[in-house]
Amino acid sequence: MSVRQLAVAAALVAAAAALPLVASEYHQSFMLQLFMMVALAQAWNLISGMTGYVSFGHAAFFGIGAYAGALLLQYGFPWWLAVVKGALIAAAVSAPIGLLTLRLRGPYFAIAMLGLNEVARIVATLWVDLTRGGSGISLSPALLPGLSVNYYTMLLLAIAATALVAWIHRGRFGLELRAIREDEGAAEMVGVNTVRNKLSAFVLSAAIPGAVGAVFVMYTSYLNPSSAFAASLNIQMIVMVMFGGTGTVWGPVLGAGIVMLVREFLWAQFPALHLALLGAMLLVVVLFLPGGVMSVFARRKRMRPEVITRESR
Amino acid sequence: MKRLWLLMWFAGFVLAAVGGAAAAQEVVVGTSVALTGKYDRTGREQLQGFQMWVEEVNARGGLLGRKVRLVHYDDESKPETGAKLYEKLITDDKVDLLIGPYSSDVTMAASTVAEKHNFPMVSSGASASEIWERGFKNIFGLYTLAETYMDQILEFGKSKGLKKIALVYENTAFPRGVASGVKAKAKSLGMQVVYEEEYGKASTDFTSMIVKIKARKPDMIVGGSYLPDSTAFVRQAKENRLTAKIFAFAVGPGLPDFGKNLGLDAEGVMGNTQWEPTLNIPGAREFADKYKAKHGHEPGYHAGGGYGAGQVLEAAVKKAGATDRDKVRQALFDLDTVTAFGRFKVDATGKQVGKPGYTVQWIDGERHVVLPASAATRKIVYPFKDWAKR
Repeated sequence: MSVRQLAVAAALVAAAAALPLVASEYHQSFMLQLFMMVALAQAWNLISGMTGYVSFGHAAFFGIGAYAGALLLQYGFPWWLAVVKGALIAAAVSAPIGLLTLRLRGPYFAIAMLGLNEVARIVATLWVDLTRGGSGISLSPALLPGLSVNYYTMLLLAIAATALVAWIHRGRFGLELRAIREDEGAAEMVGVNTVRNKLSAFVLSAAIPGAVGAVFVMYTSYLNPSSAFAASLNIQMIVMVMFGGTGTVWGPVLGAGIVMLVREFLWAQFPALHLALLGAMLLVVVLFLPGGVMSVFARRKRMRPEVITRESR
Repeated sequence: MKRLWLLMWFAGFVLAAVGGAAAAQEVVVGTSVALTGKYDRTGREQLQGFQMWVEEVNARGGLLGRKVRLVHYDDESKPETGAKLYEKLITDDKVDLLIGPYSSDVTMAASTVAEKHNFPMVSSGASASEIWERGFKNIFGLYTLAETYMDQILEFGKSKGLKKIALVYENTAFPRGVASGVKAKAKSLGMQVVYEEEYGKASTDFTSMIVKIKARKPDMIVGGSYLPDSTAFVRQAKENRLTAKIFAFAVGPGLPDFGKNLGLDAEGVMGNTQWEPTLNIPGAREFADKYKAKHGHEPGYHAGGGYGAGQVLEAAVKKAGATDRDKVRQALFDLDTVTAFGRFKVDATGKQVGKPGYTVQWIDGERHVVLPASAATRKIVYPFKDWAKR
């Protein structure tokens, strides 16, 4: 990351951290949702943007984290432990699933992940003793931390997810992941351990939504199978990353920011139409800016042979 | 350019000042209902009923002499969206009064937000008793509870000497509430649930279930259902010649579509309703006529509930003499009033205990209230006619 990027990042973080001092509760809760989408978009970017394994079911890990968080809070665990365990449980679930599904390439992986989300929702519906089934879990306000705790935790998760992607992006691990994306067979031939790399990326990208899900349930206080494993959440992650720029560090941040802001302005005016308008915007970006909004910035960067210098280091 | 900016600044200040002055004279009421998603139709009716109250109260001179303004959003039938919207209504729109959303699951989420802000909320669209079992102090219901839906029908069956009940229900919040009520009531009446099965949401094939039910020879078939599943069940019961003395289902038979879709097969099927325009309640007929003139169809209980929720708020604010949260909450707890939707009286948890439920039955192609006898528009038809002799 260049000095200028670091400066921008530091300014953004400082602004976000200072916001609760001046903004109303409503604006804080809007920003909280924005941070949530940044973290989720980065998680999706980590597996799908970097390795090219497109996941249509990342909401499954979000839902698992949300249920884990809700149940742990009910059992009397402190909120921070519920968040940490939400991440760990989602990661633990993702490892065997990754081992199985990452053997599939192209559309098969995408469909397997889509199925995973559906299966998770059905399990949550039928496992009544644990999840209370379709009745859902309602958390008492006494168990929940205040808005500022949720705000800073979500901010921290967004920063952590972005930093993780930035760190992976510039290192050898990131290069290997991108090699897999470009040509998996060739990457294997030159000695990249594709299985280990894919699995590590997958588990990391599952831990983030796990933690985010736990914070989300602390914020909304109610959870049922259809809100935990929402198909629309899968789509949102993908849309935001594609909007900003797939496989880049700043793309998901930019995409989440733009999409959330536009939605906020549109939905009050056009309740039924706002998603259609967003869809039209996405079409325009995909058609005219295939690399997302980031490609406008990246055009300049391509002049500098950064990758080569890093390789020779 | 510079002048233009100055002008805009000035206009902004003027607007803000005017807006501030207007706000001081208004009572702002906030709500979210589903305008999209699976509760779209019922949510819209509830909103229309509520909007009619807003128009009328303003024509009467408003609340405490202040004009009532409604702020409403679409919760997309999703609990998580509902939670966000109530957060927005309370902290951003800074509403004075709150009306709950439609459906038990969205209400579960929205009422937690209201509780967090200690903001009283009048709920007209939820009946699952779990909502009132969480120790909250700010959620006041209008609907009779799901658990009591089948009580009158079971009591009627008992009076005819019936003993064996077959119970089927969908696996979501409201139908599960209906079922647990049936089981408790059957036990207290000394009746026996000889068959019980829970089915997945959106199931429409009940053939295997019906075959198993036939083997148990029940006197009554009771379903915790919505419209599509109750319709499909009756159709398949006929195909498989399932017989019993009473067929009763939640939600479905209370809607006109039930009779429209089933025709002769709907004859004799019983169901439940929270409210009907034909009930002998002061104001019910007047509301129904005005609603029909405006929207072109008779209001169902969802519209009636929206209108009633407005009247409850009005009575509470009048009693409190202010829109102050603590005073309104106390007034809602103390209130015992009759709206066009029926009596409103809650217990210490905020749950409705004053309004009875009603039983409907399809007779001669029309939906009639048959129980309790005091509200009946037709005499109950018993027993359920043989499928072949219709």
